[in-house]
Amino acid sequence: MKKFLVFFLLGLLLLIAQAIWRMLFPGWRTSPEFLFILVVYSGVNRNPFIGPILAFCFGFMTDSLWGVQPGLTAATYTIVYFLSRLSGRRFYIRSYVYQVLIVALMTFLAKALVWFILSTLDSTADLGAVFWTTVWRQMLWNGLFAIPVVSQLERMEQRVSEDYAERFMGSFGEW
Amino acid sequence: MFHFLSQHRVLLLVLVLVLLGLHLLSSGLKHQTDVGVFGKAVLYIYSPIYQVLSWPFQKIAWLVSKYIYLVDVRDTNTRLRSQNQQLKGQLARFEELEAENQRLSALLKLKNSADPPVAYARVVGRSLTPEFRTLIIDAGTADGVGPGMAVVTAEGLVGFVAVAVPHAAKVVLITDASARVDAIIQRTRGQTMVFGRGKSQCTLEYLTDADVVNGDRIITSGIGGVFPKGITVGVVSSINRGQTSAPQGIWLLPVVDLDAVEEVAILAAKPVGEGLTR
Repeated sequence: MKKFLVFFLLGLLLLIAQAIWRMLFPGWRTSPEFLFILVVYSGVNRNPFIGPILAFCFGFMTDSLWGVQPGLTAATYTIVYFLSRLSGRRFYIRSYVYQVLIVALMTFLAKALVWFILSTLDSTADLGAVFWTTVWRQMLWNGLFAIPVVSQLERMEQRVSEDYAERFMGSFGEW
Repeated sequence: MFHFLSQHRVLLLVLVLVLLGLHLLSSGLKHQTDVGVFGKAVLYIYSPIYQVLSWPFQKIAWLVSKYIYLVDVRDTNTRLRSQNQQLKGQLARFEELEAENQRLSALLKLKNSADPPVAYARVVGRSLTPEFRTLIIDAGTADGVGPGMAVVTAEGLVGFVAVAVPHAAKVVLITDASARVDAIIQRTRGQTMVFGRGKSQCTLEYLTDADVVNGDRIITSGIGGVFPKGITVGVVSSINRGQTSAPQGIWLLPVVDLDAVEEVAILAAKPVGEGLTR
């Protein structure tokens, strides 16, 4: 519960940070999605129960504040959490290269999913061009910011974790 | 059974949440952009916190933008001086035309179609992802703002209010992929529909008249009652005629710089009809 609250509040701060970034550079079509990186991090670290709930809550908040289709980002973030969780089982999650690649890959999958759902819902929406022109930049932003954001999240998680010593003995990543 | 549930509990939880998300999506489609009580609660709680925390950053952004502005102010100044000379000549002609227009309007007792704004608001947030084109403004139901109201600037149309809480509201821009505006070509009076495409420009669809050229001004038709008649939406920026004379792809550049808009006015909504669809 403590971790849930800490990460929930952290998510709120990241959401605000993301919005401030967007305000500082209004002309830029893409900007780093800190909250998305948190969702991927939560999945990669295989955080059972609170991970999917957090992912859903963050997606719902994003939908409520900025989205046009309520529930779309909530469902997408939950799926991203699950896919990240699957990948976290198979790779060495502390590698920077992995962190960048997994965040970039998940960004691509999430944007593709949103594009697919929106195109299915409204055949006149024609978001294909938007998807292909923005997805690469979005992958780059999220990938680049994965390293600093993940390292800060790891540090925070270590502080919050009750079994601090045990985590350093080798079970890093498991909550 | 219990063993299966226990073993796949995370997968089941994910499935339930994804289904819940899709349910919200489905019900959202039924009720337009209504996000429900929880969605409104998020906007209600978040907007004041964000406004307080983002205030210093907005000031920094303002200072930075002013500095960047000063860097090329000399070039701009030279260019503007020459433009100013030309515009002075045009202005004299337009003043004469305006005076004539006023006299004729009074003569014909033409009613001014633009209703006075319900409220004025400051833009306090912009959408975080390129898929959605939305803004958050600092006026809400307490200021008389409600869903479906048109949002404009002095230049033209910005979008419409999707969700409103007491002191904030979410505005869907005309460039959002879900936005549709019933419009007319000012020069020919031909009917058309402006489609948001999720990009910085919109497209014109369902033209009743093939006579459209670059630079044509597109204004709201007033049909449907959402947007008052005569608000400028944008200017035709490019036309793809393909192999036929009939235009196939017409791009419209909004007159309002939607990436930089800072203050807006909200106009009262009339009963929602076919003027705005999703």
